[in-house]
Amino acid sequence: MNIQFKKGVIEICVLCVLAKKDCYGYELVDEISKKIDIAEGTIYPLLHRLKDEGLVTTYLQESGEGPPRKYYRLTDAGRSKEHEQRDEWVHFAASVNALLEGS
Amino acid sequence: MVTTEKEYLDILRDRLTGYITHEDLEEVLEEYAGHFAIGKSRGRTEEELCTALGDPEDVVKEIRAAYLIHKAEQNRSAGTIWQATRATTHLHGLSSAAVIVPFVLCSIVFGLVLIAGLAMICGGAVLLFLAVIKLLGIALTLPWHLSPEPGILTALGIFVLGIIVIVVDVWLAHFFGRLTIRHLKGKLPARKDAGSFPPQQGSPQTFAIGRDGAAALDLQVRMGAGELNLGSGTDGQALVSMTSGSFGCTSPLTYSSSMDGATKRVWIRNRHLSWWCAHDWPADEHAYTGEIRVSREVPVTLDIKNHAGRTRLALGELSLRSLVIKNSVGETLIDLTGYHGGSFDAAIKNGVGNLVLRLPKDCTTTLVLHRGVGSMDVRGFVVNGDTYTTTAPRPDAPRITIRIKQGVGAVTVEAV
Repeated sequence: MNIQFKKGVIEICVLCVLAKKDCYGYELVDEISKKIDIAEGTIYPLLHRLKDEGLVTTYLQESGEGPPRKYYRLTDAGRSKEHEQRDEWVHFAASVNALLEGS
Repeated sequence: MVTTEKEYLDILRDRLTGYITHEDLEEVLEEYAGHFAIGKSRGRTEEELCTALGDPEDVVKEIRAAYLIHKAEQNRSAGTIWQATRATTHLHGLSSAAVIVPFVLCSIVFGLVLIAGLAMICGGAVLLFLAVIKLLGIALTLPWHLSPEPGILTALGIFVLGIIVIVVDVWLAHFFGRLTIRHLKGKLPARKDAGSFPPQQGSPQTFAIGRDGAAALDLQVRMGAGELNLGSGTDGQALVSMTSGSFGCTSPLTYSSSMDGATKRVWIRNRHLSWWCAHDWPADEHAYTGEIRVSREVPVTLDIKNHAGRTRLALGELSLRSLVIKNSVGETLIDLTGYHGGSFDAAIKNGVGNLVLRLPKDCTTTLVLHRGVGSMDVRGFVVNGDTYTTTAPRPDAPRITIRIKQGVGAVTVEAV
């Protein structure tokens, strides 16, 4: 799939995964790359940007194995952004599908 | 092809050093090292992990572009915007010409207009000089023949027109700069709420701007003239509230707000000079109870200009990201007593009027003071030339850096 195409969608995916539960970086990357073929490395800069924009925050939590993990959590603003983008996506996808089926 | 963790992290370190701060770099490296650690503990090899992560150069490009856009936003100049534009074009693999040609054309046009404006000012000044000489009846032998001889009004007209051309040009250049940054961030202009808040004489009224899930506030206050009181603490979910008391004369405050990511930007303005009418000015200081209050819940970027009038800011309970204050004429009181928010930089410019600054003792504060005319009283600081410092007992205390430019008037700074 076209790389520009994917990039725009990844942000929605990240927000949606985080809306379900808080994740540490690896977990989030793993979840998304299982479904979508993307360079996993580019998800971290995206997370950093979302943090800069105040849509997510981070906290450290001990794990059974290894050092404490950095978890990402949606802020209130992130949550409303998630709603907004999810709605937009659903509408957009429905319109595109309707067009494709119509042809 | 990168196949080991060390190679991958080395590339990130090499290619990002000098582009982002040391702290940010460490954070990035830690994040990727963590990714490798967890991946390996789940039985994936370094090579597999490298392949899945993709080309580290792509990561470098992303981080560089984001950082340069951030920098261009903080410090809007042709240079920073140029760098950010280049990085973003590079990132999206667009043809450079599509972005760079319009950018260069715009820069050239703005530059030429600026030069034309300067030429008009210089030319106007020379003509004005010649016209005055002629008016005084002084015979002047010029190396060239001037015909027709300049009139004072023509000369003045050219001079003033030159100034107008420059002001408009600079303003437009700023506007395009802002637009470019917005475009680079891929954001359409955000939805705006706007209106005016007319303070009625007599009964106090409150008007509130909601928080709407914002994680930060960027507040800009521009007062034409009038007393400005700003404090902290709003009711409930309001981000900013304005209360009017018994104003001497009525003048609406106009406001507008918009969301930018998770930051809410709020502008409050009072351009009307009617507050400055002496006969309407409240005789009793306490008659004025109107003020702006800011929520304590979110970090705040504060930018305040007051052209004429007293400015009183009680900021001790806020968490500031940055503070810019410009007061042309009038007393300025800035009270940061009890501050325990985040570290921040402040720039204070005071034209004519006394400046009183109360700073928290238990913060690490650096004060750089440039002062024109007037006495100075700085208490509780270690002095070194123009620089005054206090050091907090706790190493994790907020760090405050303040640059002060004081024109005419006494400066009082105390650590309390």
